[in-house]
Amino acid sequence: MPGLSSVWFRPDGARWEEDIVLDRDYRDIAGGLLVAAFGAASGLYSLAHYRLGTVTSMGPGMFPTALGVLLALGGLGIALGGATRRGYPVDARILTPVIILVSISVFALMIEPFGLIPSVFSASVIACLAELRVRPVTKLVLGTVLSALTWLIFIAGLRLTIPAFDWPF
Amino acid sequence: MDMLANLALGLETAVSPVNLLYCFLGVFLGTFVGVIPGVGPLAAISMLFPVTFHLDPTSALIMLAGIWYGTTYGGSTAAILLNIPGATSAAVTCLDGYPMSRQGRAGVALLMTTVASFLGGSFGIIILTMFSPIIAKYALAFGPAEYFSLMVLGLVAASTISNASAIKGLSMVVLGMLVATTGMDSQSGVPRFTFGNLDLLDGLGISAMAMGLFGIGEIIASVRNVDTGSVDAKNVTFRSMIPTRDDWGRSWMPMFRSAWVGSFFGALPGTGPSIASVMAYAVEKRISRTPERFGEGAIEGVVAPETANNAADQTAFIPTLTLGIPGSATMALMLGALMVHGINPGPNLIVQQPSLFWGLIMSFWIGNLLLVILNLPLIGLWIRLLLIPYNWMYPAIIIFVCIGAYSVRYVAFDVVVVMAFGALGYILRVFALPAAPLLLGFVLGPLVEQNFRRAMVLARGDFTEILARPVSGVVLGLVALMLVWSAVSAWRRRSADLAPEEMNSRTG
Amino acid sequence: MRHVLSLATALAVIAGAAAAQDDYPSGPVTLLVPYSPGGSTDRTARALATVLEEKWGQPLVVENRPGAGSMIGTAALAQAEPDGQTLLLNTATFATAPAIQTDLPFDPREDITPITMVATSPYVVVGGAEVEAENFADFLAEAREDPMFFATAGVGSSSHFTAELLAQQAELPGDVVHFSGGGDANTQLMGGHADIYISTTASVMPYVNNGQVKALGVLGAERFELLPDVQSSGENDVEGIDINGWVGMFAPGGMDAELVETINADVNEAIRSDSFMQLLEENFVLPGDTTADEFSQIVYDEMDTWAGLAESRGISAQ
Repeated sequence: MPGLSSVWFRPDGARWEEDIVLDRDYRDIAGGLLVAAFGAASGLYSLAHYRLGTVTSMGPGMFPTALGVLLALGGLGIALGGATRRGYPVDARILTPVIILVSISVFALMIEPFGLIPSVFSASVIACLAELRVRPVTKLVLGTVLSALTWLIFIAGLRLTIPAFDWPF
Repeated sequence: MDMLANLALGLETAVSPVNLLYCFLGVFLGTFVGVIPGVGPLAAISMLFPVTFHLDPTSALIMLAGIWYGTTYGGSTAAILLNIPGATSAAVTCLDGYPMSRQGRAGVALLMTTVASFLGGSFGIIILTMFSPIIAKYALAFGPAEYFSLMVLGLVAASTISNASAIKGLSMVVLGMLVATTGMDSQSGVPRFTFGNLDLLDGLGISAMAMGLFGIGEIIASVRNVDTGSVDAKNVTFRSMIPTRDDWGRSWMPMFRSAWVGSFFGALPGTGPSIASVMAYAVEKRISRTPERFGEGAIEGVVAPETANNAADQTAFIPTLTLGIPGSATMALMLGALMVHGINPGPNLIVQQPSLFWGLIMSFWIGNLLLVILNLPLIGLWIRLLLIPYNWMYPAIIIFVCIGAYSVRYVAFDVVVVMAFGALGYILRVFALPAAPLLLGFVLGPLVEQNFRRAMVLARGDFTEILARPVSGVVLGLVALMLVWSAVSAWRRRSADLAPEEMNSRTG
Repeated sequence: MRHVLSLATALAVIAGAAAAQDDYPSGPVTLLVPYSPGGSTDRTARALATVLEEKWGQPLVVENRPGAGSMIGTAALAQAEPDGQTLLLNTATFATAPAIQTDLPFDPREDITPITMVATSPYVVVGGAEVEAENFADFLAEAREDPMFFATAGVGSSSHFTAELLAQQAELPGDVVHFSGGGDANTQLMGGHADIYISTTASVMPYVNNGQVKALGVLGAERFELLPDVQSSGENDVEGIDINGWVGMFAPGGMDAELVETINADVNEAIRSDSFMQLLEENFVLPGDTTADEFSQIVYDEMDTWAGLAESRGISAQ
């Protein structure tokens, strides 16, 4: 399919009319380069900060540096493999992962200052947004049900030492 | 006849109403805790530990042990139904259990898991009963050099655990090992990749990693793609739980082999059910004539790890009870429960405390039977969870994973770790990179590094001394053979199928 | 009128202060243990908690915060309010770890208040399967002839520093190998992979009593009264080792002196209770029972000793 090879990325799982075949496997090229970059960055960081030592008497830097180099090579290998064959576009979502990850972060930020129930309620309401549909009643019901359920299981049942409510001020 | 008398004494102790009650309490709580992602046996046993001060030591240990192996029974439930390991030792169960569930075979997977768990547990108990002293002696012969070589063997096996290409598998193993170097270096005290964060000093938690990588990654990919319950009502009938003749036929040998693998790694201090389940899976995939079925819902991929981790649960008591060596933090807690009562576990425990030792062993049988009785009817209930619409289900899973991660140490940063691994899990999916080898590298990497560095100190920097030791020499030789063999077969395959159009290389 | 008011205020303040001490503890107390549950420090903490719970009439929650050579749990204490509601039980690793972990996010002298020494015992030198010596004199001869491997419970732990101290004072050759905790170190000794492990009585005596490892000697000038048959390092002309293992109670830094006094007195009383004394005896440990000042002095002196040793032996996190 000529002219389409530049469309290697499909955001948010948007469904294309037909399965596009690209002249390169851009998924492996991008993934491999990402892996290689991470390996190189970790290896260099480790090399700069931790003592290498020798193979017979390894310092703290030897293992992570060696792994970083191996990972960089592996990533390049994956990318090279992708460059030698045809493939499909990268199928990625953006909004869904962001909303889910924000919901988890909100839980992490709220659990200590506010306690279990406010964090459960907020995190579950935010998680619901990932469906990209506006259903306020469902969200509130779900948040309430989950708050009650987790209180029952973790505080009343398992007796975890998490306060149900807390007030930071 | 001695053995019979001992078993009779044990049975008498174990079936006393009080001990039966504590056994039931233990396995019930264990199953419950196992089903909930993140809350592992260590957390549950820590919570109940103070109670054991006021109990008879035998009852206390029967209850704590019940939690320990009960968790493993329950841990596979969430792995199969939701792709979230309820316990770390169930992480590999996700690989084939969840695909089975997507194919409407969750009931079969859960039933076979219960059978496999019972068989694995029983096998472990037999080993524990018959060979404790001998195994304990051999376990001591394993020093850093032996652990190092064994873990390298595991790494080589691990890289083939996914169906992706060899280079992707290997790269992900390396990535897992690299991620696992985070935290204080055990051999020099240097904090690595902690960026001054105290919460990272003790490293990244395996359960946070498994939950993020598999569970959260799965949710991100499934929201809006799975609209209602992932199966329809006819798939949750009682009939749908019955395994086919083919399922039984395929499971028989893997269960038998995995029972051995599990018993071996359970008895080694420092390894345990998690590593046992990984190794059992890798062995089965390697032996299988149809390795490509693994990861696509192969029943062997479910029964192998579940047999192995339950066998390992039981044999983990060998070093704990007969040498007084706790192989894991959870086992240290069990030892602690004995020591608060002035009982010092060690080679003399069996002689000095026969009713405790044999009572505990007989309680394992009873506990395993109770677990089967408890779990079989529950299967029907669990698969009904799949009828809940996914848009109600996934926020609940996220919440449970968050609380589970938080409850391990009560550190909010651990929830951030889950989030980071969730993001990583999704990125890996996008680029079709396999997550399972990463998990294995993460588990085995620190053991390889630590034991290599210890072994090199003990060998005074002479690597040939490690090769000269019988166990490590043989195992490393095996590793070399495996590497050569896979290189040769890869070369043969390559020259054999150069011809066809390479269009079919889209890997899942 | 103003005088009356200020007098009333002053009285109220005094009464409040007095009440604060009398009322201690005002709620549940958290006792941090910077080690895994089930270990010897954890068992000590739980036994002590049982006694104190009864005395204070408030629940005492033992919270395990293991990791990084006890420094994770200790850092948690440093961040807590100095109101006595959060306490910590730590071992001599409190004094050794800062000598190697130099970038701790707290100052162990300023941000922590030592309360009292709970228990103390000498360090025992135990030998593994490959060691032929049965006593300290033979051990010294054997170790000089054939350099030994000293197992530690982890880098920066008290077993690490005591091994370095012994090697320095007795001029022993040999290498240290860091294992994952005391149980692991003892296992390596039993298997003959490492030779020597130095730790407190509470953590090695169970294995010694089982005949799995042997007690070769105790560190110090004199023998230990509870192990009269075990030679001391001093009687074998190894000089300059004057340290003992301990378990101590700590509070956050900047604590009111009166509150320190109150907690010190209460804990010391708890140490002397029958049930706690029995636990100590079973573990070959002596009660501590010091004033807060005495204990601070011991802790700070040890910190100096270990920091000096780290320098002279070239031990650092690098």
